[in-house]
Amino acid sequence: MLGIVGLLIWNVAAACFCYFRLRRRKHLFDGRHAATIASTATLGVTLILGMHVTVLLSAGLSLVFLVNLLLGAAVGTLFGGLFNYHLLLAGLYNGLVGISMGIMIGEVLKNPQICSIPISDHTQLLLNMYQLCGFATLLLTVVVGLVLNSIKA
Amino acid sequence: MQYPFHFTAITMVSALGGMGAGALFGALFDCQSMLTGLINGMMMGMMAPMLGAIVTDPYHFTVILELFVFLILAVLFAAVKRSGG
Repeated sequence: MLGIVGLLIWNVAAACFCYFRLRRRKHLFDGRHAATIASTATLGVTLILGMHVTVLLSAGLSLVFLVNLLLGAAVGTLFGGLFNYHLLLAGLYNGLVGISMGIMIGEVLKNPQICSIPISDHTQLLLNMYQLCGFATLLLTVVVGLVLNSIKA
Repeated sequence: MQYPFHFTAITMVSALGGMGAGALFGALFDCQSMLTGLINGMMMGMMAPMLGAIVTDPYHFTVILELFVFLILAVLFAAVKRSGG
């Protein structure tokens, strides 16, 4: 589990880096570019963060949903609120959608029986978690890199 | 899903495939469409193996899914034709 905490910290750091980089240059975009960036960054960040937080939390499903939906709404509001009120709405919607998908992936990783995948071995479960979380971290890093690259071009 | 012990590998391949397809279709237009296509393809690619694992009757499900895909393609071509392309 310690490795997943490390991956979560890396993801939060990448999201913060992306946010502050965007905030410094927010007056450079026109409307469509800002909409693309707000929805892309929100969807990617909330999907990956929701997956990691769900894997790490061992509470009941409703508590996991509550915490994660609040997190998604916060991230969406932050990224959308950089620009204007229309994009705040888009960011909120994308954040909630992304984090619900992240909760589903995390729940399946914690308990593969709900998708009728016959893995009950503990080490294999842990190995699955590590592999998919590492892969998701890699994807988030790529997405953040592309978003930051697109504001430069 | 026919290979339940390769869940991780299937998810990785599917997510990469979704990202590639989204980026290819988005790159037809410009950089911003590419970003949108990439992120949507990634999300769908990570969700699709779960749907595949949960389905109990793959044959009928796949047939109806193919019908939906062709419906979407038909609507897409109609839209392109109407806009004068």
